[in-house]
Amino acid sequence: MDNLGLFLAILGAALAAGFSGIGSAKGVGLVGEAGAGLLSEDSSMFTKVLVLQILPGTQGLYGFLIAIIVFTKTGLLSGTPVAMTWQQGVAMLAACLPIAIVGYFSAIYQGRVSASGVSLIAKKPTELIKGMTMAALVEFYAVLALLISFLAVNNITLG
Amino acid sequence: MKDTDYAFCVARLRANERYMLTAKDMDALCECTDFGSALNYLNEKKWLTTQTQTGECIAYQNEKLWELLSECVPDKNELKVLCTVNDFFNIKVAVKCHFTCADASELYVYPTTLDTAALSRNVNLHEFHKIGGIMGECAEKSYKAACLTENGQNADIIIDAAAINTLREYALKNKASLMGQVCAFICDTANIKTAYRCAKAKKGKDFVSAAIGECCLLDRGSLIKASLSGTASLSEYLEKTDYSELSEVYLKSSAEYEKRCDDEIISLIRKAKFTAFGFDPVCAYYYGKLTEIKSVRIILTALKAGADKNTVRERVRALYV
Repeated sequence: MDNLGLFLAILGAALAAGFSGIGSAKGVGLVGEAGAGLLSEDSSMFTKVLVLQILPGTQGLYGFLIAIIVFTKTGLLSGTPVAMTWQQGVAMLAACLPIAIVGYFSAIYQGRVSASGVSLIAKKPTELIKGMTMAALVEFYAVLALLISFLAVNNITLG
Repeated sequence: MKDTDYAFCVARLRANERYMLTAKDMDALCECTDFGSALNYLNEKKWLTTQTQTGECIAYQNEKLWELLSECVPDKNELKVLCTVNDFFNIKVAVKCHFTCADASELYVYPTTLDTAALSRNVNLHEFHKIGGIMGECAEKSYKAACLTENGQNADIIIDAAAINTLREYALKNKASLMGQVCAFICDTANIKTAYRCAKAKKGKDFVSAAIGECCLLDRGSLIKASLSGTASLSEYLEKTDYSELSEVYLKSSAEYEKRCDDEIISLIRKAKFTAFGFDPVCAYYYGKLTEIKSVRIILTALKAGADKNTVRERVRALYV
């Protein structure tokens, strides 16, 4: 029970990196499938498809970032973990949840929008910007969640 | 199967939609002075390769369409419904060719889920059970009807009604899907056409009941009753249904009715332009391409026969793109 606080902080970091990563993998995978469909007909579209495929991958990066901050803050990266109460651990876990939840769902939905964007450029190759803008709007909410998680993790006083 | 499983397929079809003929292309084809210049135009649009006859062009496009769908649709079972009409038509061909000793292989239509060589063999050897399922049953019934009555029409109506019933079954199971709605429409409009033809030919109750299949938005009993009472009663009944406009069109011209039915299907499938995943865009592409092929066939045939341009324009179908 001594390390319960630390365990909860690590759990939070794992959820942030894990769920956002899974969401991003799903989103990127979906766009990849749609992209392969388009490239099998027109390989000159590769660059455009790549731009759309990258977009749902950012959530995974956000989750990874929060996990690194949690590890730094708890001293796990330096190898000397700080002493934490279970209340501090719960606070750390709660701080990680916004990016874990929003990251997971927004990556999947962004993947759907980006895959639709692939269909859009398949039919109208000049409309990449419109497809990207629509997908980027979903990103906005992932950025908000990242911001909340970042501020919350940063403002928890340990030690 | 999840709708996102169709991501690859839909993107590929959308890329192919770019190469579909537009209304402008149809206008240009109608303006062609002769068959050769129409073929040149289609060649420029990469619609053809080396084909020089209407039949070859149509067969080439149908083959290409089916090859594309077979390659990209993740669940091949979903494609079976698209073959229903051709499957039953091929059964009709096999049964009729058995009696007339004609070569069925030249009359079969594709795509079909049936092995046409085996179909001919099974019908000729009366091994209907080998065809399997509803198709085997209807082939046997149709064969027996032709033997007993010595009338090909009696054999035809059994197969046509079985095809309609199969489509209706699909429509009922997939009410929400675009394909279900298209099947329901095909089913009802085919029944309306049969009802009018029966009414005009003053067919008896047994014949009409056998010829009209199950309906989706219509009441089959009322349709049969109205058909038996004559064209005026049938028109009166249909006026109260969703098909009142189509019924009026049929009374004017059956060719115009066929065109309107195709146009209605196109307006139904246009909804799929806004669908990013799932089977709906596949269904839309299939019917869109079929209508395009049909329109080109009409124009090429008319050019070869030297038909009047305005008449050809009237027959050209609305397009998906």
